[in-house]
Amino acid sequence: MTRKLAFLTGVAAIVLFWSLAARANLPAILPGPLAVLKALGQLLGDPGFWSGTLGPSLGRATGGLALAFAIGAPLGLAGWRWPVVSALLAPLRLILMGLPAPVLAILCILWFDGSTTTTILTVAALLVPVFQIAVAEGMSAIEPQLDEMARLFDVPPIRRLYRIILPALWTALGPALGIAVANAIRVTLLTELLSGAEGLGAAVQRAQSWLQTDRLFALVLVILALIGLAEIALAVLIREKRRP
Amino acid sequence: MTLFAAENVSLQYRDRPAPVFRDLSLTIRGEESLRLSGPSGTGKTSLMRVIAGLERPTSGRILLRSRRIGMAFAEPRLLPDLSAIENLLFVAPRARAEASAMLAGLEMAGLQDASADSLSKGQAQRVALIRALLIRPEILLLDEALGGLDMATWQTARDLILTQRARTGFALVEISHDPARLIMPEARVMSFRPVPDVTQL
Repeated sequence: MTRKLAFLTGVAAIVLFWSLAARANLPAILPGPLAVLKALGQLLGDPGFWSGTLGPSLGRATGGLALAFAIGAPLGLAGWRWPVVSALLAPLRLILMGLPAPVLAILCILWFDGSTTTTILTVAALLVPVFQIAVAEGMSAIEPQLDEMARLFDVPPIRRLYRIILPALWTALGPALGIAVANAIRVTLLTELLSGAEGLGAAVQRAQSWLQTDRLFALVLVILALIGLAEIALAVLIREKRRP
Repeated sequence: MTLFAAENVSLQYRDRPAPVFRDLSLTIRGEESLRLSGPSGTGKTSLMRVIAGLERPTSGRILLRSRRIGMAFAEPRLLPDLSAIENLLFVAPRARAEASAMLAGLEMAGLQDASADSLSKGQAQRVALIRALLIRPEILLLDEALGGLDMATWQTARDLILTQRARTGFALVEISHDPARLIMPEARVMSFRPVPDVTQL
């Protein structure tokens, strides 16, 4: 209760500070909370925003995330099973993890056509190492004594997977998913912003170009809400998974 | 009926300079009792693991191994997030009534829904013993499996083993360092020595 109250007090303090700062500036530089709220209402009330802006961005983020998992998970499994595979992939992993996201996004835009495919590939390229490492770490977390017990008692593979392997895998994969989902949204926006592909990123760029600062702030609120919702959903999922 | 037969088996772990045991031949028949005896680190548990199929001998041949082997390890090896009864149903999903009855028989009726990680060592060992019995084994392997029990509870556990044995006739192989706590004191004894030799008595 105290923590919730402190959190709400923090939010109120930001809004108050924002209101005071907005009064001292032009709306085109810093719009007030009410103006942003109005712009947010307009945005959310526009069906075109859902289908033409939010939908494509979420689709690309999800596509990139799914592709990253589809590539990263088998690589993680292979690296866990055969350490030589992990060593073989280490240089590429280091490059992908060390490369700043904007640089990778620009390279992908250069190499591809700047469309949906580019965004999905950029997101996937940045997140493949996250899933690769998480799956390898998760598999290493399998308790060998429990796995051995299950083998001895001839427990069917599905039950072993559900009760022994997945819970261990989830200890690393759960937190990695949290990071990956938030980053998928961020990188999608970045790539859209740089490539001009229609979506949230392009909407941010347009709002900035046309000095629609209230709309820009409203878009930022949407983005924050998306990341927040994804993180809450994952936290709930992780809590549920921990429950026997 | 022969349940396990091994001929001239040796076992050497990769990081050990000498074999744990060498040229060992062993036959276990139905309803037979065998005690593995000797100081720690002389290969008793390793042999038990070979019998259970958890370890492959480095040489020699396993001629026969029963498909239903129950083992209670020195550590209970329960799934910590599952309750006592769920741990039992993990290996025998259709044996709920029997599992509950055995838990009640070992004075754990009130703990069947308690999570495994909340159980004491002795309670967890009792659950692990029931798990090994629940699959109706042809061979029951007990690797210092009841060391955490007080005398009265140990006797109850022994009675449960003997009752089940009278019913199904499984062979029993046990390791215990406490001569006062042997399930079958009259069992055939296989002695292990600190040297990498094994002598059958």
